[in-house]
Amino acid sequence: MSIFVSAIGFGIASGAVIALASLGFTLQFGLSNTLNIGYGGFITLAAFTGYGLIQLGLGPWPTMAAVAVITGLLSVLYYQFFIRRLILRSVGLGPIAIATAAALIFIDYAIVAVAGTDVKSYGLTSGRTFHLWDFVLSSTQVAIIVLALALMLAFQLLLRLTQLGRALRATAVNKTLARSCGIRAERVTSLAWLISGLLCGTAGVALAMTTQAFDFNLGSTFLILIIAAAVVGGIGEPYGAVAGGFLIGITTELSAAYWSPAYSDVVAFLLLIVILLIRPTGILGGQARRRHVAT
Amino acid sequence: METASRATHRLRIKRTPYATVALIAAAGLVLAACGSSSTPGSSSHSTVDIADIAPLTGSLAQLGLFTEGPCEGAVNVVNSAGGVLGHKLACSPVDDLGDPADAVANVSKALATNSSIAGAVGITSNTAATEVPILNTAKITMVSQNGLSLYTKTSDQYFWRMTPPDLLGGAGMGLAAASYKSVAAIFQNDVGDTGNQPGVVAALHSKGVALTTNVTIAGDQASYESTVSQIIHTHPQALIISADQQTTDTLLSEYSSLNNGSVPPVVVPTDILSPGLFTSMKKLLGTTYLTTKLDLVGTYVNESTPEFKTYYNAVRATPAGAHEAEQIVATQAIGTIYDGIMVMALAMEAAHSTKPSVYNSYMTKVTMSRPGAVEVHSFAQGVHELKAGHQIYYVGVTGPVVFNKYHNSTGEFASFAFTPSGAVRTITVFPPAEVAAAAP
Repeated sequence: MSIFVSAIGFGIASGAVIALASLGFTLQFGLSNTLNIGYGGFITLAAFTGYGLIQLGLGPWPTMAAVAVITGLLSVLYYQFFIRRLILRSVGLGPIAIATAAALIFIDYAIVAVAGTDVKSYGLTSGRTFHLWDFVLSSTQVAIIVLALALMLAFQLLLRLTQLGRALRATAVNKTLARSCGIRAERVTSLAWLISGLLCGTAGVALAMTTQAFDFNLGSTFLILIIAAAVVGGIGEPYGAVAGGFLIGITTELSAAYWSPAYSDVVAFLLLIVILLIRPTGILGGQARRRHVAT
Repeated sequence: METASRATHRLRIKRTPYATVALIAAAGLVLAACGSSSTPGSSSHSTVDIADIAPLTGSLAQLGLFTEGPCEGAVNVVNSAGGVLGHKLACSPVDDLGDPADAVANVSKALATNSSIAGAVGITSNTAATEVPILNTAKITMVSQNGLSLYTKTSDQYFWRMTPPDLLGGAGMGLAAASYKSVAAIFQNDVGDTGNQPGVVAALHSKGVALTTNVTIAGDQASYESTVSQIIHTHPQALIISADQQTTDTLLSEYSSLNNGSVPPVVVPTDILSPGLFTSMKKLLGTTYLTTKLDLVGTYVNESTPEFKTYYNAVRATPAGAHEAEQIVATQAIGTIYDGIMVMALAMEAAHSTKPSVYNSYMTKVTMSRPGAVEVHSFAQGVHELKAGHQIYYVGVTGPVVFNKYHNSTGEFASFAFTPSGAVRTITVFPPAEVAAAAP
């Protein structure tokens, strides 16, 4: 029981970071119908920007906030000057995905050109360790979990209670219809990329804090988990991405605890296959969209 | 290469599929070579190129950066002594990206387009399985830095290695932890690190050390906390971790976090050494831990010899080594690149030919200690003795070179520790016989 509970705790900690990143990723897909592989590059860029700011003496949490804003703004520019132009030229979903993969490589190697290939570390101690029943979590992990949950709650409230949230949901369901209802769909989409960039920046710094050490492959390495979480939850579904993130985090830790840590990712992706075979749209795929339409 | 960063002996590759690809590429190479009959250094003032085959770009580029200094340093030393048979030596970088498939294309292209290549160094564990067949078919003498056990008994005539196989590397790590009663061993699931596993297990068993955990993990994960938590519950006195730097950093910081800030002594391979390693780990674990509880195990090089000083100065004088000379020479097995070029150059002199098919058989003749042969410690000294009509045997930076019938020379092992400045000092030297006895 002890191993089980502690593995769940560790899974929640790592799942929180994946969920944050996955939420941003799925938001981009939901609003722009874009499988943005370049998202991994932004994760890495966020981690390295955080490294630079910490080297300059900024504290970890102000750094996270600053990086979130910077990544959010870069995300909007990326959408406006790259993704949107591809969409306007009627480039298909597949070619856009390939183009964003090229962007990922470009971003990664731009980082190498500036920061080199060395492994970097923020050098932050994990802080005090909390023992609650059989959960063992560091203060950093607790802070990241709380932050992730707070951001997810804020996002939920944004979607549910604000005009922007309604516009976001309407645009996600049917952009043409949203426009005909007077919603400035392009502006809403740009705002969605800003929000996804904020989440991406936060996740990038949180990931660097969690792994303690990282290089320019950070985003590429975790992109597959981020996409998997989005797909498991139902691609384009914010709540699904969060559920998928936690599910993958917990599954990998449980498989590491009970089977082999060498194959923890294998178990997570086996779960993905099983879920898609049972529910092709993912755990929450379709449901939320129907709910949005009804609202 | 057994050293320097994660690249060195990761990715042990099943030989069959890559060997097939390599043979196809090699066949193409042979056909291409039919159109060219030139011999390296055939014109009176042409250069003789040594291909430095390593990942120069991509995720493993740190490793390539480490090979450039010793390669350039070695050719500069040879050239300052008049070159080889009147020809200047030059390093010709070949970027294999650390990827077996890219290696096939890039090495084949380099050989097809550069007829001056007369030798090769680098050829690390990631890519050796595809590069060695190509080079051997093209009859290019190579001094490989790979650690694959696959090449412990090879019939490839142009293959030479002065780097010990992973089995012995693992045994060396086990010996470094022999003073503890219980040890937990963690290996990343790639070819090089799992290659260390049998040696570690056998050495600990032979020394009566209890192995509390023997686990293989995936590299570069967000968290290993479940695994670390289970290891902590076994209360090991020490850890052996064979993984890349990022994975090692994550493991140790999580160990500290879950164990109230306490991390037992740890043994890691010198493979992990890379520029910036000390700085990065110091942030996580502190200088005291790094200088007192972290053992690095790898090939031993005696740093007090005159040839080591020559090597160090040669590396430092190169653009690639100007800022990293300390780290490069601290990565002991990198010295085999320097020594490999010296041995090839002396073999060319002894054979009176820069053609690999001629000088290849002289690789043993210029390194084998025998009655009447003069011990030489530099290229210049070797050439002088050869011109005087003497037989020679070269003893270099990495010590005596004793090639067996499989063209392997394993050398000595040692454990090392960081100094507070980040340099590496030798702690214990393990004689080859002791390591061999502890290996499976």
